[in-house]
Amino acid sequence: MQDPSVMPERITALLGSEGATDIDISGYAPMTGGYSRLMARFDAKFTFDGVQEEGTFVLRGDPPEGQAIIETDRAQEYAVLKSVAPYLNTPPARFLDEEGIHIGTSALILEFTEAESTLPWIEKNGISDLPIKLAELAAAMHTIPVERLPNSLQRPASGDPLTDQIQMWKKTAMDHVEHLPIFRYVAAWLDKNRPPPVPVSLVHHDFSTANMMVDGKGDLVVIDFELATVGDPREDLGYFKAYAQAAPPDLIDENPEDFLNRYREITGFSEEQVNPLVMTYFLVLGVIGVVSQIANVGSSMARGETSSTNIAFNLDNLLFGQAAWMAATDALEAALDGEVV
Amino acid sequence: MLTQPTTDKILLSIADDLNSVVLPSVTDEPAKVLLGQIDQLLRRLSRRTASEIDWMIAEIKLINAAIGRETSDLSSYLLSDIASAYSEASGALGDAIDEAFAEGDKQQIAALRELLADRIAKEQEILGQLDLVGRG
Repeated sequence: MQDPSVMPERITALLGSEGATDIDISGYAPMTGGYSRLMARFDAKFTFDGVQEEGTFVLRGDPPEGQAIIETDRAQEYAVLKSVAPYLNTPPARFLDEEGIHIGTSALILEFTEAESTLPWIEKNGISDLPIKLAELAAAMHTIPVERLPNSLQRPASGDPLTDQIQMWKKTAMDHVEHLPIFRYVAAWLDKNRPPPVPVSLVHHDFSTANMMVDGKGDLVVIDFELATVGDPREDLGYFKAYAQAAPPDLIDENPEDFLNRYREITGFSEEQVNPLVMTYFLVLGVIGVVSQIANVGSSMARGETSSTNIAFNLDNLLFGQAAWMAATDALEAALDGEVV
Repeated sequence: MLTQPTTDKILLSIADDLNSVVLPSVTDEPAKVLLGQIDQLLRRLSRRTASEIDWMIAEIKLINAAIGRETSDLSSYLLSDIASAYSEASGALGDAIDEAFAEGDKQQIAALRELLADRIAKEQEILGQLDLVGRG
């Protein structure tokens, strides 16, 4: 996917296999920022379903075997993108090469969006009304009818997403190449301090400014659904806050009450179900999806099964997470004991 | 064996050269991201390699004291052997944490938590400042 000399021909083959004609691919260039997947942009002209199209597209594919920092499924990502498109501001998915027959690796093609990465946008324009728009985006995602989501999307195995997530904390600690007592502590603490339940919904699982852009209208665009599952929607709020600690600003913290009021208004959740303390609980709980993937591939590297700088770098960054999770449980413990936080 | 400059100093020197000499001449964006990650990792490894064996041995003793175990003499100071002993002690600490929560033993939970806080302080010393190289 990194070789511009061969990719136009491969993309042409993929589009052709889907029934497109009069295909012209140009301007193929690898992109940065894909993090877990390889990405490239290109310009394309083609006729599809009798309609002439011209525009810029993004190819998003798996890195070479053994180099992925997380293992996810392009076919499922494609299905999720198709199902959420009517509800969310997200670049539409157009074509899928599930087996990598044409592209050489499992890959999908999305429409390119002219939107700008969120943090650079904030540097230029300030926070503006992004906190409320974030509440509306999160609520829109969390109120998509679950029956409209692909059946392939993972549902809580135990029937209770909190139980599943806590179990994943324990399993990650036990399966890792070395013992992780901080993970054990966090799992035990989360189990002891469960908040009231809410209905399950789509959970993005990497809901952060890194996976959002701001379009020309100042609206948030959400991307990258490769880790999505059905679970507790508050996991996304917690994950957003956890990520913002490492890459500020925290748009929720700008005005938590305004954010929560708008989020509760759209989702119908009560103040007991979603409040600052509950968000902090999920700040810890909600990161385990990504964390377990990073830990698993880190274990593989330790065993000599794979190797890359990216894997080592991301595993090392879990240490920042450990400090943040313990600080969060400290703060919650104090708040639950009625102390000033 | 030449021990000077020590490994930590050499790693730091490599990181400095990568940053000041190699990085400015690189134009490829993915390669720049990779160099940024390598730079951070080398600086962390420099801090870690200088002290990690001593830190692990000290923490093994603290864990054993907290959970009422004897600390046996270490037969080897090879990094892999010390890391293995450290992992074993960490597992025992994890078991003690589960037990303390199951029994609702607040005093023991607080004591074990202190050990974890000490571990985190060391980890922060290794890490320095976070820069999520490669994320938008």
